[in-house]
Amino acid sequence: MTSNATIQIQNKLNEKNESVSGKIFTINRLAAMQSGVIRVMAQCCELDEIKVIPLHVAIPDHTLGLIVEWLDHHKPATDSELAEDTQSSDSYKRVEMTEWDQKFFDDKVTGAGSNDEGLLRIIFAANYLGIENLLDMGVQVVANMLKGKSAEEIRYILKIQNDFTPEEEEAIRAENNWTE
Amino acid sequence: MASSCDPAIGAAAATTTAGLGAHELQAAFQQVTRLPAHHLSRQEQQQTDGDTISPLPPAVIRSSGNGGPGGRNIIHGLMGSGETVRNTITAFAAARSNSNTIVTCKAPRNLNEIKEDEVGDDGILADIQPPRPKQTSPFLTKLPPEVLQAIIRRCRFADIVNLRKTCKTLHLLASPREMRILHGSHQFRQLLRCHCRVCLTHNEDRRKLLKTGGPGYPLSNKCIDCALKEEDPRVKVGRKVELANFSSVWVCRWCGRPVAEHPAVSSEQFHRRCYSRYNRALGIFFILGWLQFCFGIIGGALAWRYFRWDRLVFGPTVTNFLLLWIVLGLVIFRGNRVRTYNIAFCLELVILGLWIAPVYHVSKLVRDDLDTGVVPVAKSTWAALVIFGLNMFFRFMNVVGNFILLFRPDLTRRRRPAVSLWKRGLYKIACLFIFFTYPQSLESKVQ
Repeated sequence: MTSNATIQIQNKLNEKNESVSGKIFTINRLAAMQSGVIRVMAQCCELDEIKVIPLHVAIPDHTLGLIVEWLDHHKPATDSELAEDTQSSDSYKRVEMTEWDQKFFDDKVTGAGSNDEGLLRIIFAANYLGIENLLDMGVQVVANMLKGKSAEEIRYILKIQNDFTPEEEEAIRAENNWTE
Repeated sequence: MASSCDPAIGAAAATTTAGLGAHELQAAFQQVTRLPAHHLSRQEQQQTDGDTISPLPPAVIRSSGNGGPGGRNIIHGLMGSGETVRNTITAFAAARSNSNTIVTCKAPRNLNEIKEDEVGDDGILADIQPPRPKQTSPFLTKLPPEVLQAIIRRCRFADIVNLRKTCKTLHLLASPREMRILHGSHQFRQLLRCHCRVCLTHNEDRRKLLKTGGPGYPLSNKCIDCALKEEDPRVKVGRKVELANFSSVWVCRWCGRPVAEHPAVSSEQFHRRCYSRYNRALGIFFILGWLQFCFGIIGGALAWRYFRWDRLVFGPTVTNFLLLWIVLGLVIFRGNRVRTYNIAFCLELVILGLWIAPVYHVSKLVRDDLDTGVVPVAKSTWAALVIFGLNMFFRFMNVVGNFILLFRPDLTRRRRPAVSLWKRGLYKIACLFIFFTYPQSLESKVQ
């Protein structure tokens, strides 16, 4: 299969949610192979036999479109480069975010009114599709968002519901013994 | 990402790498869907049982970095994804055996959420709906635990402490036990020692942290700023404080902060920058002191030359001239081991009082001359009035300065963050008087 070969992935159709419309995305094979799910499929079977890969991750088309865009931009040049990228699967590696990635997350993922919801969707989908580098970047962006924030600010930014009782909250505020 | 998984499952899944067909692949994953309750992740059990066990088993975290037997099967190692993919492959294999046009990818779901009626006779899940983030209010806690773990791992320690204050899930996920496993015991201990217990500021070399003992150690070190805000009694001028890196340093006599770095070359009780400021203050004091002395001598000379027969001028002026030498001697020889501000205060007060009569008399002469207008006021009279007035001004400043020094003020409080604005202003005014009177009082050994 040539490096210019493409495959198609289809978002799951959800009649209740208009943003999940079953749209089909065409993507370069090498770019798509960055996804662990698609890579395993390729290793198990011949992708030529599959016309469309439907995804039941239930994310909006917009988010899936962003993921396809990201995959396209980070497309490895050759199969060997892809193998090199995917072999080093250290989960705790720090991914170098390029200027393009920074702009991608700032403008398209967290910007344009989607706020943190878009970012969480990207992380969710990247985790599901097994796109390690995108997941690492998403996680890093979230970690950066939390930097220097108080508990209240974190709750506000990430819309976390405070489920502590006042007594528990008081106990947590007072605790500092991590060596117990 | 890592996920919890029984080694048996890993072994079953490992058969996929042997190049088996779809049926074998399917059979391997049938075991996955038939897991008993003890194969569930500890967090899932905890959520159902209300137990207080930490959310992730240690094996999850340990095995996250590689595909070892601690919890990652060969599939995970192969593609670096979690168990989320297994359902996809199961469905993919099943679909491929029937049709080769469309396969179905299923998103992950916690195994304990699977009901018995969802599992078909052949062990394959009938229809598993994937968990999805809420459309309207996405919560961070909706993310899979391994993703949350990855976020926590990338956060700074201070952020983790704040993160675990937000909700119960994150509180458990970032528990001390999990943190120790995540960072390693030694590294975690280092982290605890390198952070301020109050503001969680990180200081790698611990030179900006004060050592504190007692309960709560090691997360009981306090940064210098917090110690100053809390008016820590150990931070006192003229004393040494022990830092968290086990070194003892002096508290700076100029700014009141421990001299943790950049001590002055010639005095370890000052920061380098503070010492240069102190020297500047000493220089100004030196110039002003000689100016005062000169004005005293000139005043005496004017009285001797022009007011020798005026008792109100000549007597006090000559007396002041003599007292001037006593004060000068006191300033030069008092040192910093004995407090002599009371003596200096009395002497300055006497001198100030003695200048009242000459100033009054000379100013009366000037006023009389101006009123009559017959003869212009003599230049010597103007000069005497100005010099006497300047002497009074200097003595007044000295009286106030010595009076303030009697109360042993801690001038370093002018720089403390906890001090209110108006008090800070008062301390600055007090500083002005003291630096005018005797800036060497900063070096006093007796506090």
